[in-house]
Amino acid sequence: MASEANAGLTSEADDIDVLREHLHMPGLSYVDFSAQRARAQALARWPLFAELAGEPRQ
Amino acid sequence: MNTTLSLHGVRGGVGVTTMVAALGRALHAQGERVLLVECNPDHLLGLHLGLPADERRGWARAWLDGQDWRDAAFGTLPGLALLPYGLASEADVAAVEDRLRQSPRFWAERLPLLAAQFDWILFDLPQRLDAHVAAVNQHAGCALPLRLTTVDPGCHVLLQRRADDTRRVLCNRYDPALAVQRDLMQLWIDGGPRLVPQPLHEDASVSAALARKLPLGADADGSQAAADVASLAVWCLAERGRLRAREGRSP
Repeated sequence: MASEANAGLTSEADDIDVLREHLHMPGLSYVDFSAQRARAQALARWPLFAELAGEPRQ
Repeated sequence: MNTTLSLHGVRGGVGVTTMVAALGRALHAQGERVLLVECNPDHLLGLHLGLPADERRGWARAWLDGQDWRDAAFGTLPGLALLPYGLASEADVAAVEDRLRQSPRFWAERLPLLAAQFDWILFDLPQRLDAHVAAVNQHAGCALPLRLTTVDPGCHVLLQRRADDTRRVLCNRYDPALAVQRDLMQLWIDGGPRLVPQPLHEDASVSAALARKLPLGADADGSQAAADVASLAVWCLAERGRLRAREGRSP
């Protein structure tokens, strides 16, 4: 759904926006590894969430 | 020109009435003129604003009894008014739902009469009365239609089933000390429904405030929920500015 709209909820995303503006590189790609890891851990902990995310149970 | 906002629970019991009252007070504290309209037949909103528990009057009651709905409005403080539903039996509620289905522009026709008196009109929507909800969100063109959820697995399932619903989601009773809620919030932030960027935290002072018949925040110094609702009111003011900018008007 709308992860972009929620990006402003984290201070990390704000920091990256400031960096993009400062470097005049609006297209600068950025991968939030800590968020990806937290997501993977959440799905591993809760079978219902993994089922809803369409990911195999770990 | 006023701004309309509605709160609709993802399921029952998530705290819609309580939050409409709290947000109304928080917007009023920011100097806004606020009208709270109760579309929930539970007829509890008035209690949050100091009305006696045996008060029977309300707009739906008046409509059924052939009286003027405007006589059912209560002013609680200068600039803070309330239009309760009124005491209604199950048959009464079914009759109002039926009438709203036949007259879906009930609120659309009445809101212009209130436009000059209030900056905000907040609607407390019921869970499963479709015509009650549509009269506000669709036919009256509510500017800020929000859904209210608690951060629990049941609501997660319901939100996923209604993934095509574009309304923003406001989180209530968030307890980051609980792993399941923390994880769920992580999933929602990272690819979940479009969130209001101010969750309301779990706080025992919310139900205590109603039992004491005091506004949220008046009886508990440092209440987290009261601080959250104050921040939510500021977000609403900013959102109104964004809406107006989008429409090409000054904020």
